[in-house]
Amino acid sequence: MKKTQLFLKYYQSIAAIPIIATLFFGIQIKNLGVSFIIIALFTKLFILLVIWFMQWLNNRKKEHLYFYFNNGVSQIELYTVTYLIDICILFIITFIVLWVF
Amino acid sequence: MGILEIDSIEMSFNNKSILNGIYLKAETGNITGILGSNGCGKSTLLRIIFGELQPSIKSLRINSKRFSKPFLTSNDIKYLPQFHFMPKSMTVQKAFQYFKVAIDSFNIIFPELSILKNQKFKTLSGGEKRIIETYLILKSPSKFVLLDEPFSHIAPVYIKRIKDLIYEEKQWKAIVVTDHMYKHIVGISDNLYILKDGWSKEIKSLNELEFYKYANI
Repeated sequence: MKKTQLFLKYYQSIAAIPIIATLFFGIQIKNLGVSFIIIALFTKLFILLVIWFMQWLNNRKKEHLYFYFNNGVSQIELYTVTYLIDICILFIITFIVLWVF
Repeated sequence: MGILEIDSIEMSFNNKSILNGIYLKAETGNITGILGSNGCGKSTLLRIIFGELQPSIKSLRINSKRFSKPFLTSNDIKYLPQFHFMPKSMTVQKAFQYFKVAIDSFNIIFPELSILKNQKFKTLSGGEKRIIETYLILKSPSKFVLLDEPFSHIAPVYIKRIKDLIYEEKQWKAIVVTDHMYKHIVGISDNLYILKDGWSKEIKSLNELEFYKYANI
């Protein structure tokens, strides 16, 4: 439970750009069809990699990660779960865009 | 009871060897002090023990058993880095919840800071952040605690209280501490090591600090 909160806390700190991207891809998937989802997945992976790379460039000492380290979460765990959360959000938003609107 | 031992470390940055002849032992009930000049590798050594930094070779043992995965994932260790590490948008009260530490005890020891509980870290002064971070790391449930410069930027009156906390916590934890305010380190440590030219040496007499050109006693 605590770890889940930590993952969500971290995702919250980087969420703005991935969520904007998700909304964009959700609309594109509606317009271009479900086959576009593969392109959306790879583009979102690329966006997250760019965010992490920018964080690494600006903060090579990983200062913002020690809060998570001290709560027993490693960098690999943090990045992997964040990516999975991001993909889940992509699917949820795509589902909402396709079926609700 | 916990005994942590680390040796056989080989660590270099940009082909410059930082650590190569290290032995360090820390055990429950003891405070282990590390001294050394700027850039000698004190923080690097603590980061290696914590598991955040991976050297090419190391041997870390807990109660004589080799420990190969990053120690931080075990939740048995807490590390206070030199810099502020709490998320800026987090409130003090929330931080205490994450670290499973009672804020009431903190308010008793630091009554002047009790008004900060609903404030976010970004609004606190450097010293206030440092005191809260040090308190959380010391009091959070763990077996081993690594403190990197816990006395920096803190008023003398608070240093005394933090030293008392370190004494209190050593009953249940093995504590490793380093700081350039060496008199405090010498004062609280049960075992003392000096780092120089990549190796460590246990200090038995304060005159050795002068011999190794670390301080004029």
